[in-house]
Amino acid sequence: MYKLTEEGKDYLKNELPEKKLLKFIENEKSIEEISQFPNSQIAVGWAKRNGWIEIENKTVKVTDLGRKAISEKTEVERALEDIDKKGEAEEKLVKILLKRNLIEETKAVEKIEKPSLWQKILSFFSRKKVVKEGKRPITEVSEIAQLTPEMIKTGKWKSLEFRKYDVNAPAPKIYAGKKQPYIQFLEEIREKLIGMGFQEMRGPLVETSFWNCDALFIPQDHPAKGLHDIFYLKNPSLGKLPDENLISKVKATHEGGWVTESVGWGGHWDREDSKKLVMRSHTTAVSGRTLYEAGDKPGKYFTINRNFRPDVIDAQHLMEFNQCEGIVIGEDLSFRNLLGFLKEIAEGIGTKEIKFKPGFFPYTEPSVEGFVKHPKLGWIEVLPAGLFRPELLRPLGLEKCQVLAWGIGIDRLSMAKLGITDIRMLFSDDLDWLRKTALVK
Amino acid sequence: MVVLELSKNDLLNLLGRELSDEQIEETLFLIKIEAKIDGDKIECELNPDRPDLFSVEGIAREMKGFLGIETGLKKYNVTDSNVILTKEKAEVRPYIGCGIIRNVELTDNLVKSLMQVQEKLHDSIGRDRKKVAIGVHDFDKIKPPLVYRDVEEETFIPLGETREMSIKEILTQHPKGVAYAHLVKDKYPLIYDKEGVISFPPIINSERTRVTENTKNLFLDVTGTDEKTVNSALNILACNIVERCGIIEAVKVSNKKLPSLEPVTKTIDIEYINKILGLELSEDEIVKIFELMRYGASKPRGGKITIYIPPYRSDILHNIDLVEDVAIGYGYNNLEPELPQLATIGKEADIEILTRKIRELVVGLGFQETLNFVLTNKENNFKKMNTSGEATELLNPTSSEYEICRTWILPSLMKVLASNKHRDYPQKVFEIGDCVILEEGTETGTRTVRRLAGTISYDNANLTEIKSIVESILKNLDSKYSVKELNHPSFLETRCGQIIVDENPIGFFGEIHPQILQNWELEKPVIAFEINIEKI
Repeated sequence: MYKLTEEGKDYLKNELPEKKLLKFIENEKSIEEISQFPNSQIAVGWAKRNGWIEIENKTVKVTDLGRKAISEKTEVERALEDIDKKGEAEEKLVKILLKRNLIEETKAVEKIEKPSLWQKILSFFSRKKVVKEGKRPITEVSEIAQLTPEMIKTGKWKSLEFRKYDVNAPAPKIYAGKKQPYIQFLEEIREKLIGMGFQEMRGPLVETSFWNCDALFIPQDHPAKGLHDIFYLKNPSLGKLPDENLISKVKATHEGGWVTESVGWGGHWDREDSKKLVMRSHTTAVSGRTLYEAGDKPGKYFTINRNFRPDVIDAQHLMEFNQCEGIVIGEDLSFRNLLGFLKEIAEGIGTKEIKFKPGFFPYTEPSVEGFVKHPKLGWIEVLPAGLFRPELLRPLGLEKCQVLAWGIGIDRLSMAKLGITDIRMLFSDDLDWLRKTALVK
Repeated sequence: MVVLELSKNDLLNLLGRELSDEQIEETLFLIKIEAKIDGDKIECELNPDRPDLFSVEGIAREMKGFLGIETGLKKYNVTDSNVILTKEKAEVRPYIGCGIIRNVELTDNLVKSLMQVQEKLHDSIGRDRKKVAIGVHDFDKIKPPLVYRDVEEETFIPLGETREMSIKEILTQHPKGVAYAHLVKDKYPLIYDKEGVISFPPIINSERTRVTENTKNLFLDVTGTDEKTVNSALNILACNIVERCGIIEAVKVSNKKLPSLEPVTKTIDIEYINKILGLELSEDEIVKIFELMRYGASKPRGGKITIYIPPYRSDILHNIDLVEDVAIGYGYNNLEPELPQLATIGKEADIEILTRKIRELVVGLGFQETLNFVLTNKENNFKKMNTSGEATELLNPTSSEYEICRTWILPSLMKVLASNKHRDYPQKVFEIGDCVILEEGTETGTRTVRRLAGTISYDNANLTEIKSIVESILKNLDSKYSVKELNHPSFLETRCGQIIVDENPIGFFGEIHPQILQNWELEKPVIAFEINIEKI
C-alpha cells in the first residue's frame, strides 16, 4: 500500500510540472525562456523522457505526443489518483512515482492483504501459508527449505522433510546474454555464403572518390555523386590516389574508352575530384579494390558491410545501411550463371520464387534486378546484379575473366525475416526489445 | 529513378492497338519500366539510362517492337530548311543544336508530353540544365538567320513577362533566372534572330517566340557543355515528336546540318553475344531480336553482324550494351539460371573470425549485444565523456546528431543506457563494431578500427567486477596482457585500469565518473571497458 507524499498531493491538485510546462511552451520557446519556468529541470526532464518535447538548437518544441498529452489524462496522473483513492496502482507506474518521491509506502502491517513482489518470489522458495501470514519463513527442525552440502555429506537429509514448493509461483526474470537480432541474421547469411565457397573481402568505411566511383566507371558528373547522395568529408577532405599506371588507365577509359572498345563517357576526367574523401556509399567499392588485387585469377568473394548516405532518418530510411555484396571471377562465366547464383542465394535465404527484370547500374551490363516473393510483402526487389562492364574490368587488370556481381539489400531482407516494418528497429537501442526478441530462426 | 506520368488512351492511340492493363504492365516491365495503372493514368518508374523513353512517344515506339507492330530500325527523313545559325564566340555553353518540326498539331497530349520530356531530360542527362538545356519555340515567329553568341548585357521580354528586362534583372528577379543564375556568370549566351533575342539558354526563352495552341511549326534549340549529350537530346526530342506528327527539317549550325539522324553502326560477333549470355542463339534469331529492339541488323557474315543504332539511343557505349538488349529482347525470364562449375574454398576474413569469437565470449558473460551507428556527434563522442580530440568530420551532414564518425564505442553504449533507465537493472550491454580514427599518411587519411566495449549498470557495480570480466575475455583469447593505473577523464580517479599488450595500450576499464553519468542523465553506477580488438 502506498500514499501520496506532500509533493504528490500538490501535483494531484495542481497538475504535474511537465504538463504545466507543455502549456507554458505552447509551440516552442527558447531554452532561456524555459529556465524561468518554476521547477524547470524536473519538468523538462520528464517532458523529454516522455517524448513530449524536442530540443534542437536551443529551442524547445512540443511534439505531437506532447500535444496529445495536454488534452489527455496521462498515466502518471491516473496513477496518482489511484494511489490517492485505493493506495495502489499499476506496478511500473508505482516504480516511477516512488522514484519521483511522489508516493511512499505505508506501514508493513497493511501489506498482508496483498503480497508484494518480494513475497511472491519468496513464496517460490517457501511454504505458502507462512507467506500468507506476512512473516519470513521460520525453519522448523523437521521441514527444510534449502538443501545444504552439510545435509548431503552427513546423510541428514534422509530424516528431513522438504517443504512443499509451488512451481507455479513466479520466479525472478533472468535476461540471457544474446546476440543482437540483426547480427544473428547477418551471421546466418555469412555462413551460407562461406558454405557456397565465397571468401570474405574487406575495405575501409572512408573511401576516396576514386574507389567509390571512378574505378567503377561511374561518370564524374553522375547525379548520384551529388551532395544529396554521398557524404563527403570536411576533415580530412582529400585522400591519396593509387599508382599512376592505374590512374592513367581509368582516366583514358572514362574519357574515350581506352582499349576497351568503348566510347567512354567523353569530357575531361579530373584527378583532383577523384581524391575527394567520402563515407563509402556502396560495397561495390570493396569489390573494385578486390578485383585490382585478384586480377584475372578466378575466385568468389563477398562482403557484408556498412555504407552511408545522406538520408533523413524515418521508418524507411537510415543514413547507415548494410549491403551484402558478392563477386564471382571466372573465364567462361555468363549472364545465365549470374541468374544461377541469384536463384541459389534466394533459395539460401528461404524463398523459392524469384523473377528478373532488366536493371541499370553504371558499372554493370547486362544488369538485372532480382525480385523474390515474400509470403506477406509480395514481390520485393532485393537482388540487384549484373556483369561488370569491360570499362571497369580492363583498367583494374582483368583481361580474360568475366565478373558476376550482386549486392543484396540486406536491410530490407532482414526486416522481412525479423517481421519488422520500421527500419530503425535494426539499430534499436530499446533494451526491452533486445531482451525479449527470441533468437532468429 | 525517373518517374513519368502517361495517359493510357494516348499510349494506346500511338500504338494503334487495344491492350489490357496487364498486357501494358507486362510489356513495360520487359523494357525496364515499372508501371502502375490507375484509370487512364499510367505511372512509370524508369532507370536513367534510356532518356529516349522519357516520353510516351518513345515508349510507344519501343513497345511496338516488342508487340511486333513495327520492328527494325526506324528511318527518319530530314529535309533542308535553309535556316542558318551562326555560332560566334560562345564559351559559356559552347555546343548548340537546332531543328525544325513542321506540320505539328499541338494537341494537349503532345504539349503535356513535350513539357514532361523537356523537364526529364533537363534533370537527367542535362544535369539540371548545366550540361544540356532545351528551348522550344514557334518557328513562324522567328525571323532567320540566327546567331548564337555570348554577350555581357542585353534586354528582352522573357517568356511569361510583359515588359523588357535586362539580363541582370532576369537573373535576380525572374524565378527561372534566380534558379539557374549559377550556370552563367559575367557572360551570357543568347540566340538572336533578325529582330532580337529569341532565347537565353539555359534560363528562359523570349515571350515573342512563345508556343501557342495555334503553333504549326516548332523550332528546337539545345545548348550545353558536351557536344555528344547536346546532340542526343536534340535527336531524342525530334524523333519522339515525329512519332506523333510532323516532319523534321535541318538547321545549318556552323556548316553542320542538325539534327543528324543517320544511325551509328557497330559490328558485333555472334559468338560474343552467346558467350556473355550463356546461350546458343542462331544468327537468324539474333537478327530478329535486334529488330524487335528497334535496331537495324545486316545479314550476318563470318559470324559478325553490323548493327544500325537508332539516333535516339545515346546509351550504347560498348558492344556489351547491345548484348544486354539481346537479353532483354530474348526475355530475362526465358533465360534459365545455371550455376557455373567453379570450385572455391569459402573463407571468412580474419578480423571477422576474431569478432565472432569475441562476440560469443561476451554473450557468454551475460551481456546483451547492441548495434549502433558509426556516425555520431562531437557532443556524444567527446564532450559528454569529458574527453576531447579530432574525428572524421562530414562535409554535408543531414543532422546535428550525425556529423562525425565515432572514434570509440563507449559513448554509443552510454546512449543505450540513457535510453533505458526505466528498464530492469542490472543492465549489461556491449557492442563490437567499427570506429574511424584519423591517421595521416594513409590512403584515406583515416583508419577503420574494430573495437569492443561493454558496460554494466546497477546499484553495486564496481571496479572488481569489470576487471573480472576484462580478464576473463583476455585470458580466453590467450592474450599476454598487463594492467596499470590510468588517468582517464571518463573514469573515476584510481578506479581505471589500462590494458597493455606488447607495451602498447589496447584498452581500458573502470568505474565511470559520476560527472559523466550526470552528463548522460544516468542515475545508477556504470562500469565499463573498451578494447581495440585488432591488437589483442
